[in-house]
Amino acid sequence: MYYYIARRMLMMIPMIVGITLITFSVVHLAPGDPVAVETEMSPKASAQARENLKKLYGLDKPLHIQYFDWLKRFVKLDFGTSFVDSKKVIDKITERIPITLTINLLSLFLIFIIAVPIGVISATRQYSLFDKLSTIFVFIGFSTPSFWLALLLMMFFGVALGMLPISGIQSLDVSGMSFFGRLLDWAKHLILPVGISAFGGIAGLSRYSRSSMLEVIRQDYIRTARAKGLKESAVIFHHALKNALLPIVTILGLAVPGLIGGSVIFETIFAIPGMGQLFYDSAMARDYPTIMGVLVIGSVLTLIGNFLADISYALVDPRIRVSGERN
Amino acid sequence: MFRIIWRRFSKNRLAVAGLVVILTLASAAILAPHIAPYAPTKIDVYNVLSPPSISHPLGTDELGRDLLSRMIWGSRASLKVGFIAVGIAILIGTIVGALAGFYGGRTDSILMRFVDIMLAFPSFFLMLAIIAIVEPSISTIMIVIGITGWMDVSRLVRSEFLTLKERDFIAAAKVAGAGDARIIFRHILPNALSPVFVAATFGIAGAILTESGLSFLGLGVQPPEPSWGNILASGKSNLTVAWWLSVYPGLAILITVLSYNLIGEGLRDSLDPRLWKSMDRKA
Repeated sequence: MYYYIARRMLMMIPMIVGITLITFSVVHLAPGDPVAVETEMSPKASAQARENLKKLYGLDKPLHIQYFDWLKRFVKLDFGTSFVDSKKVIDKITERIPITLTINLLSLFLIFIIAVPIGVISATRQYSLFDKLSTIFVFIGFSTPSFWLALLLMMFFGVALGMLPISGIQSLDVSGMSFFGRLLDWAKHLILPVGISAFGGIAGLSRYSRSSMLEVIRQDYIRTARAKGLKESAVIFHHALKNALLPIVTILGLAVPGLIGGSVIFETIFAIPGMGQLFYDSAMARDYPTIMGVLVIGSVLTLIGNFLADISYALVDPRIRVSGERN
Repeated sequence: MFRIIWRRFSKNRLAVAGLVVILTLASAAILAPHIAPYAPTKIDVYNVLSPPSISHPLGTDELGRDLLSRMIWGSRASLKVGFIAVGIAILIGTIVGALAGFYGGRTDSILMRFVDIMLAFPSFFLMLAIIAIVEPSISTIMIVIGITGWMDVSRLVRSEFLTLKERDFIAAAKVAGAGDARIIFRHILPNALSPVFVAATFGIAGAILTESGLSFLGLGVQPPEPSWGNILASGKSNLTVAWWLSVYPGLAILITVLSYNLIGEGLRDSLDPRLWKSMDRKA
């Protein structure tokens, strides 16, 4: 097992190098350069001043040298300072990560506890009314723009009913509340963003667990279990579910980039100060160091998500680690 | 061949309904100048944010522009982005997948590692970064959605190539003296296309969703040119006073995307059920 983990970790290194290479190329090979952005506001800036700025950012050096300089600093987690407020990029990111991660983990949890039962029930009662209804739900879920759903729910719960707050993560008077008051306040603010970011995933994963379960139910060992007279519930929960859940773990890992990417949309809509909003703001301001920093960190988080999914898959399924050790 | 596919496809009522919706929408988009009751950018200061009525069936926006007309014109943006973005994705994905699957070995592993790396980027982040640096416009987003969305296609094409290149008819073509290019394009590719068509249909659905999201954030189709996404952005600013600006464009997106998904499902079942058994969509 340790061997498998180590091997899997080593595989991440070239991936991270590739990620930095693409991030660097996207920012540096695209037309338009950072100096132009900074001097845009002051058209009088002389050619000399532009040259000085270029020197300051090392933009006068050849591209590959710039890349290696940037990579060297990246290893020390130094992404430079933001063009917008001269704060350190890494500080800006670390202060935003917890809220985005919290929302994403809560949505993953929500996706899992809602989607798997839907999928399992649909599969065990294939072509029943429940199965048909959930299939309709899945298709609508795939096709609904999440930001539109956010608007509708904001309109309904926030504006019409006035039940839920529609922006930020805490009320203005939060400092005067008790601990439970604060917790409730926080939960009220998060319920819509979490629900919405989970919505598409619920549709996807329930479809997937349905087909995974259908496949398992047709296996010989399920027939054996039934043949030896086990109760249907024992067959489903004890024998089938365990095996059907295996591939679902990996799929949850694959959902991570979608969730992180989606955070741009719902954090902007609900004015949540997370990584998505930071990225949106820095993209609008063409804050190159922050753009590069968030892009790299976001993809590394994805890699870590996939890594954890693979490891837990190997933990529950011995076949994976054995074949991993043999190679 | 096409007759068989059509016979199977037409048995799927939902897929046919989807096709009818899309054809209707496409004709509305093409005929927009003739069927839209008003010009999409005609400002009417006396009728700002007026609710649905007989003269404005879906109401007007904050500049008094007719929502129905803007939505009809907006369908052009979705149609264009859907087809062109997916066209780009299919082109890149097919080339990468064909090269990787056909040549195998080092070419294959380098290309597939590249695919893995591209998949690690939260695609929305990558798109935003490129758009911010280039310049938001409808052509930018078509290209950006294309170059961040080809990876699944390349995996599909690759796996088709891996199995097809071992078949006897390829060996026969080689013996007959056909070159690599001829084998790839004339012999393998045509046989590898059915999953690509299905992926393309689902891809259009995804591209329309992405376009509307980007336009909603102000990074896609730029006003005053209407798109369903940027109408929704003005719906958000007028959330408390004008529900129609938020409800109708969103419904249009939902129905369009749903139709493409239904068509995709229908195509999948009618093209080759065997190939698709294990290919249910992922989360």
